[in-house]
Amino acid sequence: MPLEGIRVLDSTYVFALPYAGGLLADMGAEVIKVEGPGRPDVTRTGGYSGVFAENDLGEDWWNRPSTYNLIHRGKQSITLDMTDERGRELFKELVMVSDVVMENFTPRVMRSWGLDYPNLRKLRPDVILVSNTGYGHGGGPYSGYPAQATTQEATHGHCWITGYPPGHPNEGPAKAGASFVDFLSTWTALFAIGAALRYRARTGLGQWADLGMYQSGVMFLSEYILDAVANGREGGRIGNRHPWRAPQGCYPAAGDDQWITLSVGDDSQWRSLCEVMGQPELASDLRFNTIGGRRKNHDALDEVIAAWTSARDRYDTMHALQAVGIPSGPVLTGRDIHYDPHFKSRNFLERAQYPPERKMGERMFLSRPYKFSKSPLHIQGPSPAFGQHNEPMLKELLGVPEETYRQLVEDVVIATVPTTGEPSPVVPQPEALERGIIAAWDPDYRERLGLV
Amino acid sequence: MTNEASFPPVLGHGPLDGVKVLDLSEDIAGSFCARLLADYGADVLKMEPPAGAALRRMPPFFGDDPHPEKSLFFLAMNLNKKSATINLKSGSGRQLFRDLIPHVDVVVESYKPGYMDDLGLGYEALEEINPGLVMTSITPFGQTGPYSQYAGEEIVNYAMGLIMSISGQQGREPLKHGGFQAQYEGGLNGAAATAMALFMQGNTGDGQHIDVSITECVASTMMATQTMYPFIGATQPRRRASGSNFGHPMPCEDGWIIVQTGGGATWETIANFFRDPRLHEERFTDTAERNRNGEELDRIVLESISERGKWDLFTEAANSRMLFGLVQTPSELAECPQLESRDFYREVDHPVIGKIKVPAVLFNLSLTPYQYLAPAPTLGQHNREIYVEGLGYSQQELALLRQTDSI
Repeated sequence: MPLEGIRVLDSTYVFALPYAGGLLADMGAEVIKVEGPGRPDVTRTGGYSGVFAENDLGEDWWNRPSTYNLIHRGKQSITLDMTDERGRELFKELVMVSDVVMENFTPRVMRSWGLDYPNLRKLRPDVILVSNTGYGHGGGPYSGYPAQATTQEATHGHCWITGYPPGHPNEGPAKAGASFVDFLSTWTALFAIGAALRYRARTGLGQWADLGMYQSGVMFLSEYILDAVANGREGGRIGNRHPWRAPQGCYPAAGDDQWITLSVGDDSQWRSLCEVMGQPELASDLRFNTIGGRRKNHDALDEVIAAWTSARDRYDTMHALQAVGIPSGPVLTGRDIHYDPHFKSRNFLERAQYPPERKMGERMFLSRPYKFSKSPLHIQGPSPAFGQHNEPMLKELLGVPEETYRQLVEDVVIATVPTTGEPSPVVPQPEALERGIIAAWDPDYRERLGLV
Repeated sequence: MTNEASFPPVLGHGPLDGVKVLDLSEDIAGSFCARLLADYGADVLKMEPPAGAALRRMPPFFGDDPHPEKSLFFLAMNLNKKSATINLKSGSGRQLFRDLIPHVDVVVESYKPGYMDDLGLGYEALEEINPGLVMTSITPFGQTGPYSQYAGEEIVNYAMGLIMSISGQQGREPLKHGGFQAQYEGGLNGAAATAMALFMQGNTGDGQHIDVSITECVASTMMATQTMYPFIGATQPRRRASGSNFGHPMPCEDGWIIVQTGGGATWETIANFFRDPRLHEERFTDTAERNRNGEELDRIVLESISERGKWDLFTEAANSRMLFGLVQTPSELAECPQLESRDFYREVDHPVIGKIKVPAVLFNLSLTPYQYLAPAPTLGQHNREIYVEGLGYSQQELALLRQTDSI
């Protein structure tokens, strides 16, 4: 395993770096998630579109949310009250035995606790520290601003170029996906850690990676910024169309809320599309037989294509178009991905089995978008319960005496039940369906997925 | 408590110093992957077909001139690299490539799965020459599986990567992100996996073939969407057309803003920010009630910001510790003081384009930070350096390679 023997102290919250921690665990690292007894991870509430297993709060709702369980797979969980000096001291002891420390506090917090990079270095000179904040550390005007991926998607420009195009009934800037820029920091952290570990192995030197989500988000708009700088052009929204290929779009398919996408790049693909649609005469239609014509008459072309796709099964259309080399694929939902043969054959969704006391059975999770030929990666185990590893980590790893440990429990410096937080409202599936909170519901999904 | 003196002095090389990379990719994803390796210290040689990488033909172009050295997309994705031409379709070209393999650590490529094998240059063949080689292949659907030979495009990666199923509005067609997010995601994941494999290679001497699927990169951001099914059997929808403005852009006087509950701001703070007393009523202060009264909430909020400017709102929201954003345009981003403070942009001096400011620094690193070394290379700019000075071919042999269309 690439990260065998590497210990990561993961003092991070919400999505971005916690997810990086889960992916590091997949690579063989020992990842210790640290939360405050009164500061449980936000994903434990089931917020941000998370749901509780079986829509049931159980006896420990804070261990049951979907997003929490995906993100924290394979980690150890400990709790430390960082507002208590004993909590901070134990954290410092953990730093001394860790290779990598990750944190996402606002810049002033770590400094005020004496846990910023210059101080961490005194504890462990070769430590690799990864910080993730909305706008990055330093003296910039927004560095102290609160931030989160949802609102940053606008600020870093993605909403400007995303949305139904002008003239469409729902035009205007839009968001896509869910907390998109979080994941750019997730992967940037992995890159930074891999590079910094390699450097440390060669030189013995650690360092501090200071990530700003805003910065990564803007990087992903490089060509728009260069077009603005060089050509004075402001980009904008073109919906599902392509800046130079045509036609391209997302068209209705047979069935309720079923969609198929396709993209035609050149005249030869256009002729192939006409053949597959059974309308070879269209290939010589002067409105459509050049790229310029197809771009100019895209609306009319969309009608022709939609008339063809709407009666057909989306997968049939994909296979027919791909057979002649035209990029095409159905819009897959969170349900569909569990049954698609391609993702199945690649084991893209992995199963994690919970111990009986967790009452979670078996669940399936997104794995990773990369495979290593010589060191196959797997989810190493289910997510831990809150504070599940307090005892082994503090007593065995740090050598905290029994008596001190009992005092820590008594004073709630450590805990196995969060002292604050409320579960997000649970909406029964039939009501959620009616209110448009969910799009579909398979009551028998466990049997269908073969979940134990 | 911060002791500035205990920051060690910055070094003049990156963390991947000493790593040698051959970048065969012609697309956005592979090029971005190799560029990140170059940005953080690797020595990256882009190996292009004699006609140039396909990315050289992609808009936008400097001055809208479709010249192979003027693609701004190519420029952005190939900073800090060198370029040599190579014709892998010719036997001598393939031999040249094999001759380089013992000298490198990484090959980045994004051809259709199986193409490199057909050329006799697949991972197994290259591994025999160099057992420590890391080969990173970035493709739309990955190296295996029933769709591995299928053609990808941004919209197809997006559709099959689940995002479109929750983007856009209910009753309308699903919507993709603007730009080429999936391709950038593929590149970033490729760089992350490559860095990990290089760390392992340093420890064990073993190389690795890394298989990155761009569609799976997109799907990896769908944590709530995917898990909703094996947790409660449900499918996440697109947003409702009304009653769900929080968390989505809303028009104000001179643009659009976006606001989210949570963070350091209470509902009372948010209600005060929008300056409408109705927001203090219980149908809005209670979370579940607020969700049920979303349509009225939207109306009140839209009305309250219709005559307020986005920058004033942005500053005021920050002072109230609210989670808040405004929709910035590309030119606003190009002039952003926060990015300036992070030294995000660098001015490059390109031999054909001239001086231009480019987005450069993905993240800040204290000891071995990002370094700008060179603009994107012109086609074959380093042929002589690589083939004559590097591999030891004579000037005459180089001419012969050219005449035989090997490079």
